[in-house]
Amino acid sequence: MTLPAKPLIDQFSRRITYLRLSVTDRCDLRCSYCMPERMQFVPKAEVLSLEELRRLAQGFIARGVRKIRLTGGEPLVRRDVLDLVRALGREVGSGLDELTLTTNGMRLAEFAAPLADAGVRRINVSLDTRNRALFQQLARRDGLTQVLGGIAAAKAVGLKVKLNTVALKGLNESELPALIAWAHGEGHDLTLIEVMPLGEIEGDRFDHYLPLTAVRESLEGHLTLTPSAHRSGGPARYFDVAETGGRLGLITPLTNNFCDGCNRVRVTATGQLAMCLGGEAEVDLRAALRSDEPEARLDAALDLAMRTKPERHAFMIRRHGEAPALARHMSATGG
Amino acid sequence: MPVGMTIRARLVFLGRLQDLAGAAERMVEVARASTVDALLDQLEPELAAALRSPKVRIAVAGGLGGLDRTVSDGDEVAFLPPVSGG
Repeated sequence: MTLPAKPLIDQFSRRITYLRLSVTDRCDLRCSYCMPERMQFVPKAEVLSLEELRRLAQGFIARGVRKIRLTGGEPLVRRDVLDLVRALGREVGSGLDELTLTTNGMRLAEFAAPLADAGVRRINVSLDTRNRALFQQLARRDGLTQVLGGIAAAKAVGLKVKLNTVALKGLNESELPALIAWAHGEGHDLTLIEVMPLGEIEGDRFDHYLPLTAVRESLEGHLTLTPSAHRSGGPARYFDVAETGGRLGLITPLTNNFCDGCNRVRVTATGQLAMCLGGEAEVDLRAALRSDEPEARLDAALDLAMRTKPERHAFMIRRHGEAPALARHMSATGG
Repeated sequence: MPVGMTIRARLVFLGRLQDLAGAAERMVEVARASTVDALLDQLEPELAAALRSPKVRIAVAGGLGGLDRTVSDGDEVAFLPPVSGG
């Protein structure tokens, strides 16, 4: 691997090699912890075009990004998303080590084969429950059958699937051991995620905030968890599950050190570079891309981002009714 | 066919192909060394014709394949619908 001319290194000496690129803020589900039922989406003209996304990604690759994850909203609701996947897929093995995406699985039955064709090898699928009624309650859409079909399609074409499950007190809490056992039985890894306080939603997050320390304790009544040496370069900590032979990840932004090895930045669908999921600061890459000197302005914007990426996030859920630490919705940055 | 001359394969219909097939899965029994194409002869002609569409993608035993792919005993043969509305 040749080093890029100017690698992206922040002021805390963290090398940025991972870009999470949101291609749309739209979604075909309305998960209650993520967005309100009547979500106000961004007008299309404000969203980066296919060509802008491609140039943006190339700009990051030139600065040493080795992994790109497409996110949303839901990336597979964007009409031309496959064109982008195919363009970036051609970089895998040279500019990129990996191109992947995070999806809700709703359209995965259709997309699994073309994604595999384009060079995608692994995908993350969000799945909080295998109970149809609870799915409908959480996602405000009756989509479970479709999502499970999507996950089956991904497996059928040989995509490695990791399931992401938001742990919700009093909702999927009691189902978690069975969900983990099912996932591992299907050959999928599963990572549990704590609710993150992003964006105004209906209801009170505090009501369903479930610290994973408590989940781990209760899981250990059913399963034998052994800390694993496996690292993904991300915030998850992994455990091998003796009973299932599978791997369980825990992502605990509120109850654990989350930031020390941070290697990533996020770009929203409107081209705003968010240096931290849990911080307000953004750098406008769209203005750079739409300027007379897109390459030079993009490089300068990335330099600015490296000087301003914060050391830590500012998340907390301390009490009932507290406003989120961050006004930006999860759907703007794709988690 | 004599015992041992046949294999059994599980057909899996994904996404909206499930509605078309009227079931999520079907078991079929065919002669050893049959291809996916031969296996489709076991289905109703209309369904078989729809599944033979070049837009329908086929996966056999955990990887993408085609109509000419040979099926082994116990294989799962999945049919994936084309991208719609794109």
